[in-house]
Amino acid sequence: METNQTIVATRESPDNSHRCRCAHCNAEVSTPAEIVFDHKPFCCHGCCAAYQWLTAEGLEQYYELRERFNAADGNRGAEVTLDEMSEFDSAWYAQQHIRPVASNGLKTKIYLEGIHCAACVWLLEKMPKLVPGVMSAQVSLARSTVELIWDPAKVSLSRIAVEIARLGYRPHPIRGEAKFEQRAKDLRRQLAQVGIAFACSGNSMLLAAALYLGELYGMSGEHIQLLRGASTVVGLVALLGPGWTFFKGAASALRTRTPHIDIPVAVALAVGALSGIWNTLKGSGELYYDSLSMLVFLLLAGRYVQARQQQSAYDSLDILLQLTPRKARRIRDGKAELISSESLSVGDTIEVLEGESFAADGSIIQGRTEVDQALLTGETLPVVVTTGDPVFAGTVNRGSAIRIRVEQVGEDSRVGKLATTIEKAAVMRTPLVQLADRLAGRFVILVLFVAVATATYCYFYRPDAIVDRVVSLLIVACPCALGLATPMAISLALGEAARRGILIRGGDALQRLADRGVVLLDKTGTVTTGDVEVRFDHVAKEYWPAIVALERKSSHPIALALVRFGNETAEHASRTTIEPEQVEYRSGGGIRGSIAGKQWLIGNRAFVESEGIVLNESNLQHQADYLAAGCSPVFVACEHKLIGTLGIGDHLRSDIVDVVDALKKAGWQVGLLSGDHPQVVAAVGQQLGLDSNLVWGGKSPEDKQQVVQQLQQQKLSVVMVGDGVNDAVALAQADVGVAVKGGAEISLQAAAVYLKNADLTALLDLSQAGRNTIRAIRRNFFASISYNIFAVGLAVVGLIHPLIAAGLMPVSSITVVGVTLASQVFPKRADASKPTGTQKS
Amino acid sequence: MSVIYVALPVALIVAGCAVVAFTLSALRGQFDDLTTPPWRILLDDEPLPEPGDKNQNTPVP
Repeated sequence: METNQTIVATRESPDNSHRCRCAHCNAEVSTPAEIVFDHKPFCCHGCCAAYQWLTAEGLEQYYELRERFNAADGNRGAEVTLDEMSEFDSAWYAQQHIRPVASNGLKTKIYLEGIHCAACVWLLEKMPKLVPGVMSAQVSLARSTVELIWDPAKVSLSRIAVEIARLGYRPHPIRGEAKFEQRAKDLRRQLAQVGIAFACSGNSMLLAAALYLGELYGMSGEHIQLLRGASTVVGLVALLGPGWTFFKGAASALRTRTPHIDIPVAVALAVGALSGIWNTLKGSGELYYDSLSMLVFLLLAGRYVQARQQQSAYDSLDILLQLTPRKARRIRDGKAELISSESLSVGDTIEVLEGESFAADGSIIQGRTEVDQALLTGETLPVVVTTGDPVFAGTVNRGSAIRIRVEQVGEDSRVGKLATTIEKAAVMRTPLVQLADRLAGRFVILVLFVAVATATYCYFYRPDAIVDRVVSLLIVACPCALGLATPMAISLALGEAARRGILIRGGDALQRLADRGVVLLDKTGTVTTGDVEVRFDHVAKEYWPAIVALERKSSHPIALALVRFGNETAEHASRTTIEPEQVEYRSGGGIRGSIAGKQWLIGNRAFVESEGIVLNESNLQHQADYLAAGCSPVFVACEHKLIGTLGIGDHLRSDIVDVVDALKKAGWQVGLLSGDHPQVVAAVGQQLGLDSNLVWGGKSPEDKQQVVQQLQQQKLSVVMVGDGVNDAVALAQADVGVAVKGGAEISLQAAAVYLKNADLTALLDLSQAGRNTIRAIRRNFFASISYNIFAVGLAVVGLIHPLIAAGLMPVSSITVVGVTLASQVFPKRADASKPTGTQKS
Repeated sequence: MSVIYVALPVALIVAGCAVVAFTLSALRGQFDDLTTPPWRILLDDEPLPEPGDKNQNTPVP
């Protein structure tokens, strides 16, 4: 990495603001930035390399586009080895995902993490320019996938994958593609039906208009017959094509004996079609084909909109298994062979190299290493494990190569169980009884009752009008605007939310937000900034240069925080280059080294005590203070004497106190649910003024899910806000899971709502929007049902004319659409980045 | 007015063609993704070198 060397060498302050942003990914970087290139600061070498690459290829327009499309965040470029991506070259991948295309190319689709704006699309579709051999790249923003066509003779797919990762989009093979394709096919079929129904209803209306005008101004009999015949043909196409769905729906509703909106629709369609055919053959009587095909169209359109919203909700769950590697290095008779993880069995021995993740749960039989278990515990600091210790699938080996004995594979492994739990939680989430279905059910019974009553009445007093009245009644009573009411309101709210950087998957999340329940917040990264800092300093200034010199050797987050702080407090003093010797780390403990012949120790209590350091009264007092403030204590010792203590922690987000207060005012209970040390969590809870019954610390992912479940058993609707992989299960279990920007991809997949900005004021908007959406839906129902009742009244007394029926239907639908468009679901904001503060709608 | 005997079937056939076209495009997935293509159209395109063409004699846009 010679380029990186030169970058580090040019240490200069890019600009004078206290905090600046990485020029590639926009992450906050403290000044002076460690990595500077082209006078711009970078957060990591990966980003810097990505920036260099883009500018070298003349693609710096990416940054401009990103600004223009107002996307605040970018992706961290990451160095990924060819080996990690080798599964893209494997035989099974080729068999399942690669299809040949014309001109010797191959085609595949890959899921990428972190595609979020037009600039991403632009950049990724420039792949042919960046990587010779790639012929085309087509991005789907909605699905975060890219479809690649490449020339296998020039470049391998794994090489392409590595280059994509370098840009900051980590590629994954797509799982569950078959299922997705199936749903996509269903949606396409539905859309085609909506199109056919629309064309039929449009043409039916034209023909009907001609007939009505003919009635007014006179029209010769043969022309009337022609138009009626054409109208019948078009109408029957609509009823027997797209309209067939309703007959099927009605049949299954009858079988399960549940009143469903499909029943009156099917009855109306059947009666309308039969009497229409009869009247056409007879040459007189009313035709209702325009109303009927319009009915079919409007209902199908509403259903399509709803199905489309749900499609993205289904798109989520297959990803968790992507966290485990698909290949494992099995050791047999002293020889290593690469096999797919699926063919691993209990008792096998596998070797896991540094940087690889474990393919199965097991225990170490040889070697000693550090494991990053963030996936399971949320703890970002690696844990030391040695022979006999258990390791878990999906966690990452950060130390050296080890061998493990496989004990649990696939779905039996801990991560596999988590995946199953997430899927179950999402499926078992009590489905909302759709307001529309409930209302429609009652309405159906009412309409059928009125129809029977009318028929009975006519039988005795007006036997000649019986068919006409019943038919017209059934047709006008069909609440087609009812079918539009919910999907319209929800899709508008979803669109508005997306413009505000809140991505909502599936409309039921919005509806669930209408009821006030409990909001559970995760601590790190959600309530706090997640950037570790020195917050308490009880170390004399003259010791700082030594501390900085020692900690500079480590890339541990706490070490970085110490170096940053040291550079600021000790200023020039720390810049003097002291070279420590015999530096030694103890993972999960601290660092040891000698400077100018003196022994230094920096670390946690257990570490310094194990080195024979005795803590005195005031040290212990400091430790208690730090813990009370939500910080972890760090001890510094020189020559076996404790010289000071430090409190390391992260800050509360600046707006979080206001957000919590506003949420409470809006009727929510607010709680804290975290995997961190209970004392630290309790301290943060106190700072926020939370009820201590609603503050939980030290929770594993499974525990978190249980907490959520317990609350749900108390009939509280639970909104969980989190960002880590370890929150994923709780996010899926909660009634509404909200993932915050910057979180792990898996948590985004498990959650129903994704906040693009780490700004929690969006939560307030969301809760308000949930209520308003429900209100808008109710208004729509009211409008639609009043039209129907009015029309039924007319039909009963025999005043209805097909023209009135044909007119009422679009008018009621237009009213619903108009009322929905006019309603302001999200609270208005003067400035898009600031909340209104008031909770009035 | 007997032109209607020609006009009506013609109109219905034209409408039928439109329906067939829409149905085919819907079934082939052209309406699957409604977010990316509208953006793609806004992004300036640069002519790419022909696959296999090493000279890179692309005109500067």
